[in-house]
Amino acid sequence: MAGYALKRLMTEYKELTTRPPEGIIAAPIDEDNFFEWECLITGPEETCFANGVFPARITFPQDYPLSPPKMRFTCGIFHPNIYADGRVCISILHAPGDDPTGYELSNERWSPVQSIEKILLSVVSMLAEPNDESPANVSAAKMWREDRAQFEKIADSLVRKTLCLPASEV
Amino acid sequence: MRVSAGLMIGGSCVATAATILNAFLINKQFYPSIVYLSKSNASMAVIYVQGIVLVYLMFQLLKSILFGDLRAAEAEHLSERTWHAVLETCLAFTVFRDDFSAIFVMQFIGLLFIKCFHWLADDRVDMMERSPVITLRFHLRMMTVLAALGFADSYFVSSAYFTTITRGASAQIVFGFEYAILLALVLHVTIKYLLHMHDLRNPQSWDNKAVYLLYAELFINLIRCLLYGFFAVVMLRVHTFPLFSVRPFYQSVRALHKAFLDVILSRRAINAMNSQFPVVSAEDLAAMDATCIICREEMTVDASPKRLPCSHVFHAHCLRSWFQRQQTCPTCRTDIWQGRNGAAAGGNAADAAANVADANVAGAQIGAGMPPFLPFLGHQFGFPQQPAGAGGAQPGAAQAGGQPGPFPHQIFYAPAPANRPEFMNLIPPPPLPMAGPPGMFPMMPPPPLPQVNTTQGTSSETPPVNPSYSQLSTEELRRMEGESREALLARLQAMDNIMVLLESAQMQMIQLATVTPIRPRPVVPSDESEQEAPGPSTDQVTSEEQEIPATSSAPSIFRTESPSTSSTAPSTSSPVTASSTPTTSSTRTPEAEEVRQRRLARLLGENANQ
Repeated sequence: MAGYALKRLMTEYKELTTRPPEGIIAAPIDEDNFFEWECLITGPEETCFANGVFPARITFPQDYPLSPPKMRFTCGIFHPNIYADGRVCISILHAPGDDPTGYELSNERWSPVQSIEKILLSVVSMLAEPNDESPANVSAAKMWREDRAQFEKIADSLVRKTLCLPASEV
Repeated sequence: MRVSAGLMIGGSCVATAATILNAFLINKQFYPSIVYLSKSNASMAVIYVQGIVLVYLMFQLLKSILFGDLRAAEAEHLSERTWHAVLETCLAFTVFRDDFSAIFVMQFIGLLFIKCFHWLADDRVDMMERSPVITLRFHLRMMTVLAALGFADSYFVSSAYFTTITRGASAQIVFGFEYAILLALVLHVTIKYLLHMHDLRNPQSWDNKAVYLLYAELFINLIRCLLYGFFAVVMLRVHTFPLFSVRPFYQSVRALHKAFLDVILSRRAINAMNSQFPVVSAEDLAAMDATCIICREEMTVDASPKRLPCSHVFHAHCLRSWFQRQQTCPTCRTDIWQGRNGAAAGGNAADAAANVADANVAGAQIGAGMPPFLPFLGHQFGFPQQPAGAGGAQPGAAQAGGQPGPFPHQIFYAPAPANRPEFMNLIPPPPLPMAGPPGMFPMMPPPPLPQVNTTQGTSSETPPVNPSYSQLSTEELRRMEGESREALLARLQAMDNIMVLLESAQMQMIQLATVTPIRPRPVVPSDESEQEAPGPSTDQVTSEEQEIPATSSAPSIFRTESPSTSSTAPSTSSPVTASSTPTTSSTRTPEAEEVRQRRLARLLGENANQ
């Protein structure tokens, strides 16, 4: 089973190398282990995450693409749909079938048709438009909903941190 | 970890050196120093720790030689399993507290040491499938490790077996079973290794590899469960309940259950695919985008791509793997069970065909209903058949009426049947005279007596009739009493006489009916009385005329028949004339016509008889 996953991952790596999507860089950590990828996601324009470069790690299961991979941001990021430890909570990364909590439609969850590029594009879209109805980080969701200015301020500080810039004195 | 490990190792070495140096300083000789060290608990503890450190260092050395650098997943698995193994070892120590000794501890540490290498080999073989780069050194390492581990496990199993046989039941049983289970693990790893090698050598993807891996896992887990079961039985007999083997046994059972379910799901998916989804031909592949969206590889006819009901095409093995967890189309998420629904629809069509067959059967039932319907029709036909039967009965009665015809004296009474229909039509109970001739004799006396009285009032010939009856009463009664032919004939004659009398009575009733409407007229009463006076005179004249032909016919009868019958004939003829006289009145032309018709019928009857 992992053989098919390996071939699939190699094919996707080749596609991402030849036609990289804008604002996304993804590749395996080591050529000996294609089941652990590291990627860099650029914050979407005209949002509080703009100009930011957020590193993340994707771990693929042995039965990929039948099961979804796991994605975790390795930097500190404050977002309603990202847990405190960096794990990403997005419908496309959830196992296929019906959602036990009823927030997601079955057609939004994982399918073998999905790919790494689609996953990363979905994450970028999530950064631009958080889903505050079923948040993974309740504090971030509440702040994003009630105190947008404070949320944007924290996001800006995180962006500066990822860019190794000094904190804003404003 | 490494820093802390280094500190521990350094500290242990320093402590050991210090201990040994101290012993030598105190005793200054080799043998006394050894005795001192062995008797001192603190010194022995330090030496034991050093021993563990040395074992750890040797493990690290062998690990680096055989496996190189460990990956994060492998290190994590190793630490987790080591922790569980140590816990189980402590539980084992509690079970075998009687056999607790330094050698015992050393054997358990050795077991743990070898177990670690087994786990590393297992993870490395799994990693073999994940890494695209497989070097020759990798193969050499794996073969060496598997061979060494297999040999070691076999040696220890046999050693434990022979030790148990020679010395009896002891802790060696535990070691024997542990190494047997490790041997099963080595077998499993070897099988996986061989399958992976075969897959790597084959340039194309090997579809059945997953199936073989699944069956191998099922087989190994089954062996493991059997070993644990056997081990539990032996331990219960020899020592006590083996608490330390509960967790591994549970894990083995769960793994077996999972493997079994996987096999079932795989088999089910394969059957569903082979039976329901058609294989796409080369032409169709050329026409469409021949890329499997699941594995992102080109589809060829050799891979037998399958087309789902929603017209999406995938590799057979890709679909099989996907269907083991979800029964939907990977692309459009259409429920594949709709295909089952389609099959169910086909089933419905079959049911519809069955319904049609049932309708045919219903038609057949209708056809079968015809027999029960036909009997109904038969009943309907039978119902009119009853009147037909009645009609048949009537002709029979007519024939019975005709039976007297052949008799000579009956020929004179042939006109009587002509009169009988009218008689029967007029009289409601016709079957009574036909049914009981003997019963009619008691009825004889009342009817003729009043009629005789009326005839006496009308004409003078009636008195001779009475004497004939009185005369015949004795003789004929005697004859009628018998059962001979003559008696029967006499009875028939008496019945004929009764018929004639009844007819005369009817005629008199008709006359009375005709007279009653004339009386209600107030103007006519005087005329009626006048007409009544000449009426009888004209009637007498007509009666005399009628008497002549009767007497003329009587001589012919006299010639043909006996005198007794001739005596009865005039008695019967006289009432006939008496009955005919009132009908011959000039004023009553329709009655005259009726009388004429009767005469004609009689003449015709006589001609037919002649």
